[in-house]
Amino acid sequence: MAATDENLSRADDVEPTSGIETSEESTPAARDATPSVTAVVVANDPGEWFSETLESIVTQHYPRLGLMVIDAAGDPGLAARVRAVAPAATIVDGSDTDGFAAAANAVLETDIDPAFLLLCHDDVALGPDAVRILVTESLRSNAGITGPKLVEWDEPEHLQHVGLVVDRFAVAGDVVDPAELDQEQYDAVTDVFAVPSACILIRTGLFGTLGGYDDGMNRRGDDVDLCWRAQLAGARILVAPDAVVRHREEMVERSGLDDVRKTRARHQLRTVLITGGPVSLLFTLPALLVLTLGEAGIALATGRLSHVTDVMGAWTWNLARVGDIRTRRRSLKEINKVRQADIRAVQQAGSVRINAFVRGQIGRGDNRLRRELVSAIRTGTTRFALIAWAMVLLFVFFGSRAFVTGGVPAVGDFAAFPETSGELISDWWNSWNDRDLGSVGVVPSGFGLLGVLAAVLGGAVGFVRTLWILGPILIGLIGAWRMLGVTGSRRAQIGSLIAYAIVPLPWASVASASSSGLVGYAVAPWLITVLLRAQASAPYRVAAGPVRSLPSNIVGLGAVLGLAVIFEPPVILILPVVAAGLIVGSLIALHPAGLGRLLIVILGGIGCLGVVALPQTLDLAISGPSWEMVAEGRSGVASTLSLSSLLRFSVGPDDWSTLVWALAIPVSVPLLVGRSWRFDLAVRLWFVALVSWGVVFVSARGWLSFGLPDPALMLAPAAAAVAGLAGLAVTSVEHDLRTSGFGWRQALLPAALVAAVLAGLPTLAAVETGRWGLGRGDFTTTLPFVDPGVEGSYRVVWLGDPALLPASGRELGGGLAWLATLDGLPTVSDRHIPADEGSGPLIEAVVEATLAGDTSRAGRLFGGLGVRYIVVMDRLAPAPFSAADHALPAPPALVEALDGQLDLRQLVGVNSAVRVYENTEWTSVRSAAVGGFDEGIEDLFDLAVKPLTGTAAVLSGTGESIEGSVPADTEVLVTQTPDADWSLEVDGQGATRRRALGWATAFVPVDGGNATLSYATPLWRRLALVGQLVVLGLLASAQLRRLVARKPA
Amino acid sequence: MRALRTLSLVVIGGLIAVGFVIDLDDRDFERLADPVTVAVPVSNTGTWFCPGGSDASGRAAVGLEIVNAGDGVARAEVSAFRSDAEEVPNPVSFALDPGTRLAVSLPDLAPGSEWVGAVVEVFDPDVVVEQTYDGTTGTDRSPCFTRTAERFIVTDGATRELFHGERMLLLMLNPFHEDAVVDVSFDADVGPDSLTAVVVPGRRLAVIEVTEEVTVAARVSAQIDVVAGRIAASRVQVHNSEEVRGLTVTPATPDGAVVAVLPSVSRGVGRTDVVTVTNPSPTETAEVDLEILTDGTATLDPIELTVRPGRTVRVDLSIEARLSELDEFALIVRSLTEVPVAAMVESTVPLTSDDVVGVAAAPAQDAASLRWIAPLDGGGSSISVVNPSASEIASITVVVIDEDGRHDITTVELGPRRRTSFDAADLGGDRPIVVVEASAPVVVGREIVGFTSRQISTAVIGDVALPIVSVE
Repeated sequence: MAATDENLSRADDVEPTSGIETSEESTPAARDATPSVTAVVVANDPGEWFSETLESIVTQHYPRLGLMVIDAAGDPGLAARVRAVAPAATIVDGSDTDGFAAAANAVLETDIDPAFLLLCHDDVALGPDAVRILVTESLRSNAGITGPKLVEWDEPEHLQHVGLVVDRFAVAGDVVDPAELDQEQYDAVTDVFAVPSACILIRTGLFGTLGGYDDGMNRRGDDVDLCWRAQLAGARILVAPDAVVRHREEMVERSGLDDVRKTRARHQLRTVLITGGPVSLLFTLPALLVLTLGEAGIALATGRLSHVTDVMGAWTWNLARVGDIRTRRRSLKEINKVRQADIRAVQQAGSVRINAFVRGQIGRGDNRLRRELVSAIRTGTTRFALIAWAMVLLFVFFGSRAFVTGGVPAVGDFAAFPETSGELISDWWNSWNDRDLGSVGVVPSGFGLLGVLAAVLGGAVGFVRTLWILGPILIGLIGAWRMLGVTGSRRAQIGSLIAYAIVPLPWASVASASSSGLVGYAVAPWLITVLLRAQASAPYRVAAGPVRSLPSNIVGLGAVLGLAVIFEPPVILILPVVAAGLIVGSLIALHPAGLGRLLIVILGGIGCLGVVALPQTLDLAISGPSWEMVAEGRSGVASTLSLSSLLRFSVGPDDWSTLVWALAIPVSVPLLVGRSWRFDLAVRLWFVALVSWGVVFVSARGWLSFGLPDPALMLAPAAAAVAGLAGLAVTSVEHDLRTSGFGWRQALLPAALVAAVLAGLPTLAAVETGRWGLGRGDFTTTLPFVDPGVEGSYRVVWLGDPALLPASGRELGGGLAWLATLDGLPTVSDRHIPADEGSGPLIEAVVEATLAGDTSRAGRLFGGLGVRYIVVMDRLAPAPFSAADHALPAPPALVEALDGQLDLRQLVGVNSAVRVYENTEWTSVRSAAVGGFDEGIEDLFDLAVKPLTGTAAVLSGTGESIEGSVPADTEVLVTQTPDADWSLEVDGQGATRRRALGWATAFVPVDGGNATLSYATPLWRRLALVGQLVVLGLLASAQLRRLVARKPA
Repeated sequence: MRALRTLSLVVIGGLIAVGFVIDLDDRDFERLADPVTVAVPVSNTGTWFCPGGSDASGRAAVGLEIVNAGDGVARAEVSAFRSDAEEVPNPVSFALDPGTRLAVSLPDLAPGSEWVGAVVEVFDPDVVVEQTYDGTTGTDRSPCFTRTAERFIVTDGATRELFHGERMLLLMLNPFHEDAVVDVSFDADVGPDSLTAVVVPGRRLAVIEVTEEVTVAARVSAQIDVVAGRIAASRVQVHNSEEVRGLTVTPATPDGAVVAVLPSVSRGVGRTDVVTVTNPSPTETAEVDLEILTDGTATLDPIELTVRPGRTVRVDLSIEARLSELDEFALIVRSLTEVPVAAMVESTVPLTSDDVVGVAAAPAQDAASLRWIAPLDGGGSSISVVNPSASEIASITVVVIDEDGRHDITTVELGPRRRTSFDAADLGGDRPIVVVEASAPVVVGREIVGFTSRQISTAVIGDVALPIVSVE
């Protein structure tokens, strides 16, 4: 330490408790009875407020208070500034120190010996009685360190700190919420783990024993470290809130150096390393490392490399200081009087860091945003919003409790997942698709990502599957919440949220096991929001123009659609529905502004979608577009869905109560009373709903020559529009109703409220089963399929109404659809129709020939395709898990045709929900046959005359690499779509390939032996998958960035 | 603003209202059409179910006759089914030149089995498979079924074995792998009876000796309800008395029909034709008209019948006074109450007659078509053609197929609701393979008269089968 000015005294020359003026009230008697206190203010080039700081000290109502100012910055003008306010103050040169801790420790080098030290920053202003109160409480409670209540400098009604809670990782958190109003709610004297270093009263002896602050910490964390060590030394730490200190807390702004994250991370780890016991460190350090890695991972995902460097650098920084840390541990050990367990007991359980992240505090600036957040929470509507969300989530989870506890039965679209996450990932990573007769095509990447998620969660496939089914509901609810966020009306958002929760659509979708309906429910509100933003009519614009730029809207639309399409390709069809509704609505409302932008965004969004869903785009480019991929086996035939049912979103097996009609009242409110943009928006949303209903209605009437996907999917825009209209009703009441004169409009509010409650009753009643009416069981244990490992791999042909099939079917006509699966029930990898149909039409041809009565040997024909079972579905789930009155029985013509086949054997007594036929002339999908077995067979239908005989099953199983043994002097017949990327090796020697039966493949090995049949996915396909992952990663990163950067609403 | 609000409300409300109005209309549900299930055999189905008969030493030694009425070589694969538990023989393949017939001895394919049936798969649409029977009391022939069914009706039979030598049997063929289970109910003049849970083993033939179940009945009808599976069934009726001798093996009628045709009935001297109509409905009474179709020489009122549920009505045409002026004619059996009924005609020429004696029987035909195949056998044979349409004139071309190909014999026009017939003698040869082609759907039956026995039988549809009710 060196003198920088001749006016400055060396520390050891300072006279104790001298040089401070006492207050006028002080008396000699009082001075004798009170312990001496020296206020130590560390000045680091303070601003103009410093005079106020000094004044607040020198005007304290405390008789024995000295003042020492430590000049940490070597400011030549400081002395004059100090003398101007406190002529008797001692000024110590601390310019050779780095940081507050080291500067404050300079007091230990002086010979002053007051009873207490009041260590202060240079940006605090003490209340008049602060020192007295602190000393009094310290003496009364025998506290080692006592801290005041810190409030905002400029807004002293806002609390800043009332002590700190600290977790085992030395991460500090506030007791108070950011910018919390001081309503004396924290004015009781309280034990805390630490107090901020801005202003603390510490016994001088204790400070000396502890060796002062850790001078290895130049900024931040020093207070926690000091208090932790004080606690280990047996000292008590209190907050005396009656002592009020204003604090500017502007270190970053003053220094111009934003190293908050870096220094905190370093010093927290240093504190843990110094204060932690050997045993506790065994747990604490790995846990801290995991937390650090997690934080770094999130930072990496959001592109914050400096964040990664900061948190990871803390470890290297401390590693470089191991020697120092070891020394301090030894010193601490000498004064340690308290067990680590006792310290744990007063620490915050869990992780303050995670709590802070959840609250959105990591990575943000400090107080301003937190204050906004807290202000928002403090308002009544926000509390109401939280309550509404809590109720909606409770409703969803209570209604889905059976799924959460027991999983979701594998019926309808809710196909089972493979047993392991690895299989799911493998199905996606390898481009061979086993369904039907096999074809090249990707499994939608969403399922690959779900596989990755399951792997990350330790193989929790069942949990991820439940998430796959319930997740869309939550995403849809969030979308409904955000739809009217731009209006600034929290009540409108609540209205949309609740309306979207009570429309029967998602619950009917669950009851009918409609995955596409659920994904449509998830996407529709987001899609409407994106397109409304694209159109940029009020309120989706600011004074300067659109809320978002055209490219941003395009990417947004592409992302929304892309993320949906990678799970459910048919979802693409709701885009034209929403777009048409908005366009017509805009025209009817005579407000066509922005339609050009809308069209541009739609076209651009489709292009962007092509990139997001790159592998599927490439498949389509190669195989050509196929309407089957989106129609899911549905044809244009009329259905029984009435207009009344679809207006009530009653598309499940059960008819929903007519009480749902009551929703018509709230959704009519904005049309009846709305003005300005509320009316315009209402008209547009009404037409979105009308187009959605209209499309389904036209389809249900049988007026279309082509099929549309599940009505639940096509009705999703209507449901989202209804939710938006309900929200608009609220905002219309807020803005428009109160300006209307007294009349019938005033009756709308109570009427709408009552109607909304009535409309929600049927949905509330639906929670009773805990599964929304979906059956408890599935066909997993019902269907008598033989283990393919026993008699060889086989195919199962599924026939029935498209709504009942266990995966998306291909249209067969007459309201029927079909699909074929390998080795039993389909998994989610078989769920969607690949763009390439492969040799699948052969199955269709056999079924059609059977239906036409052209053959009574369907078994022989199916046998040539490896089909062992034909399952005709009458119900979604097996009895007793599905009601007979929910059946969609197969047409008598189909049953008659199958019953009349000589080589199909109906397996009686299986279950009343299905008819299962076993093919008595089936041939395994992979079988060994004597050469020449297919002589004279050039067409599948030749098998009716000359059935395959003398074959033996080999190489059973699924996947892209199948192993087994092959007998000598045989060929291996593989009855699947021929593809040059399949190869057979027997004892390491490749087998030649030839076309067999006119459509299948036969491998001709040189000899018998151990064989491997494998498929080599083309490299470009994998590159496409990787490219898609990169695009998804970029989108996710951009979205996370926006989330992190966005101010709280 | 008010105008815009009104416009919006009107448009939105109007669209919804229009939707509801439209939705009042019935929808056109285009489901898969129900299969046309007719009793008459249709050649292009390719699979023939033959309930069969006895072995060579039995009462109705069965054989198959495969007739190729096409213009190319046809292949047929015969799978014989046994009545015992022995292993099912392997199928045997045959090839037929165009315009030829092939006789197959079924007992030879399943030696040792008392009863033998068959499934014949042919891979040519113009091939007909018929069963031929040869017993001590006579001979018979009838085409095999081209469909299986879950219900069969046998309208008539007799079991007075002791005094009249009448024996009745039901043959049931189950061509499928799974066992079939049937319930059989009898309605006889001696009272009702029934058999329940009769098992017809998979790929086997089962026989019910009705004579042992319903004894000494002059009239007995049977209804076979298949509880599980599907079968094909026929009736074997033996007459062996001093007055009447004959063997009839008649296909049972699947399901019944609202309208059916008996193309060949007669009130000839010394011949007794009896029509039996059975109402299989357990609850509904059938009001049935027997409409008389002639060659145009006479117009007669129909014979009106009331057939109670589960009962059978017999009409002896030989005692119907209004028919006294007629010789050959056709009958349309029409259920006015649209309760499907089964009908059969049994023609008896007693031993005392100077004509060819014997008993012949055939079920009513429930389908019409534009093309029929009718193999004939014997110089006294004939085919009968009926135009069931109420308005359309059918141009009939009679063609004979032989090894040399197709020979158009004659073309005639047949007015609405008219019947005509063609004698084998006019068609050339003793055993012509006759094909009848028509410009409008017609019904073709045949009467085969040999030296010692007589048969009546349906011809086989060689084109699309049309239920008669749809072509009137």
